[in-house]
Amino acid sequence: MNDRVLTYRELDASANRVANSLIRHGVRSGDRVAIWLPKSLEAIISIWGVLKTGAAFVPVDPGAPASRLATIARDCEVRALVTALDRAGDLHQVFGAIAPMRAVLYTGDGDGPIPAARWSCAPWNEVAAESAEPPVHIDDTALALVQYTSGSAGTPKGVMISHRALAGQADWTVASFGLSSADRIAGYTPLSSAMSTFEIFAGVRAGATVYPVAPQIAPFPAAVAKSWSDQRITAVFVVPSVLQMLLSRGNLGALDFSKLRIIGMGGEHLPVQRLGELMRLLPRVRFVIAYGRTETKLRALHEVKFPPEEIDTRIIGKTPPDTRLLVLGEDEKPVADGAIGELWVAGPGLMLCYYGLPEMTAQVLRTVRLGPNESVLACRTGDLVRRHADGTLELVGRADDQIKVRGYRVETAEIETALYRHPAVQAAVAIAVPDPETGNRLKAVVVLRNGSEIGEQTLRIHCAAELAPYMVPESIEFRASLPLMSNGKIDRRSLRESAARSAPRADTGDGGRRR
Amino acid sequence: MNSIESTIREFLLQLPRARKIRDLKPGDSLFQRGLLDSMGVIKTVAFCEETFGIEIRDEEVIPENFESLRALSRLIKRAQSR
Repeated sequence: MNDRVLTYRELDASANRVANSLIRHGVRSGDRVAIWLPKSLEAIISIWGVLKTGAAFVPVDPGAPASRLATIARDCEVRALVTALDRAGDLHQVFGAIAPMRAVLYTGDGDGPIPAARWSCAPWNEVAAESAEPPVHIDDTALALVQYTSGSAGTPKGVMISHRALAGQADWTVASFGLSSADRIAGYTPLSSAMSTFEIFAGVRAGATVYPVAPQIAPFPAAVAKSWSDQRITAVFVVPSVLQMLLSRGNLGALDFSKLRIIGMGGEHLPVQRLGELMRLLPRVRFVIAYGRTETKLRALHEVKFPPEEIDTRIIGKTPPDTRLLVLGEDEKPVADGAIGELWVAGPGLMLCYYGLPEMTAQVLRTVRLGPNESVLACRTGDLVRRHADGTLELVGRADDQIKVRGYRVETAEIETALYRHPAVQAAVAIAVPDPETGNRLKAVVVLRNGSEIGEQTLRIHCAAELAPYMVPESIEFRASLPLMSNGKIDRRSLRESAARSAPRADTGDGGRRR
Repeated sequence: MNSIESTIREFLLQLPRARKIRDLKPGDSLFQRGLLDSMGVIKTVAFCEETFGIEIRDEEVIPENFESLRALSRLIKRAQSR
């Protein structure tokens, strides 16, 4: 599986065959098609196949329980699903008689286990023979991708991304990094993560070779590092928690990375000490910290010079020429330099809207008046920033309870909602605790109803049945009550501080190895 | 099942991904059972190092050594004899 190679011509022909199959199964321009696969050749072919029908693709975390797929599939009414045979077995149980999709395309060998009563099924190796491109006209502003992200209302929300936004991000990535057909780009980030569109679309735009990391070796830092060394990878785009894992367990010093020229990272904070360690280990590599949100796509790049300083990890760097970064107060008017405000992004390529959530969209995508005769459509990010006198934009925090875990943004409300669904739970709070090996880990503090006695494991199993794996709290502390602030709200800060005091420090020591 | 295997077994079965697993035999594949993702591997390494007082080398954290409880137990015995 790791050794299969596709040329761009073959990718194009395979994608056309998948597109023709999907069309034969009823997929039409404007539909949504879910992809529930690990990052693999099939996944990449599927993305292009879906796009060629004029439909949008909806990546779903391959590690997520089938119930999460069902939530997403129902939310955006997917017409078809591409998945693997070993997943297909769960589908009937999850969807029962009511499934939004009418067709399932599955990869893998063996007999399809799904009774084809409600939906038709087709094995991957029987996709349409015709490899001509389907005659579909696709508008630049049409929907290309629905990216589900954690929702503060307790359920995931679908961010609708246009072809133009994906293409704009790819063009700018290629230009900024000077990517070309000589590049070999590692694909580590799962498709469901906003970062993965980075390498897939920029890689194609550049004509570079993309190496998806095989799911079998992905959990093993030293195996991943060795494969990147063997494949003479030139560019890597990952979340900092992966870099932390590679640093502490990747055996990096013993490997040859002479071809590696770019490490791009984004999505969360990498402690400057770890960044420094990496830069010392890989002195010839350009280290670039990306800023972007699912709603805005990639919007800024900051190249770090050695030795990195603390502020480097918080700088929002250079933007594409068509992008404006605005620092606004709560009144949605610009704040003075030096003052803290919320970051808004203006420019083409913002999300179209949240799927089926016009009110939430209206809170985030707004027309901002910049002067008597000037107004722009801008997207609020929820990130708090400060513009220094020299123009540097510094990220200082969040305006809400959103946290980052392994590069994924997580609304604590979604975890809390899942906890509250357990009949024994009276009150619950989810918080992020710094972790030396992974950046952040999730902890829940729970108050049980009188007389209830359930264990940590029972509650975690309950959460795992409906949340993506990275959202399941790693530890659960039971308390008799939750600390409250004077206004009656739960005092999250004091919970975070007491959790952090009992956890090992993330930014000191020998890379967090417990020796 | 030896005592190393049962200690690790107990640890693995409390990972979030173990929600559907009740029995885990020494030769069962930990990956086919869906028990280990990247976080699970890192946590298992840290758990074994602490519990058994050993050092697992970076180059030993590879799929072969995490294939089953039996493979993990062999890895730990090798580390203990160093």
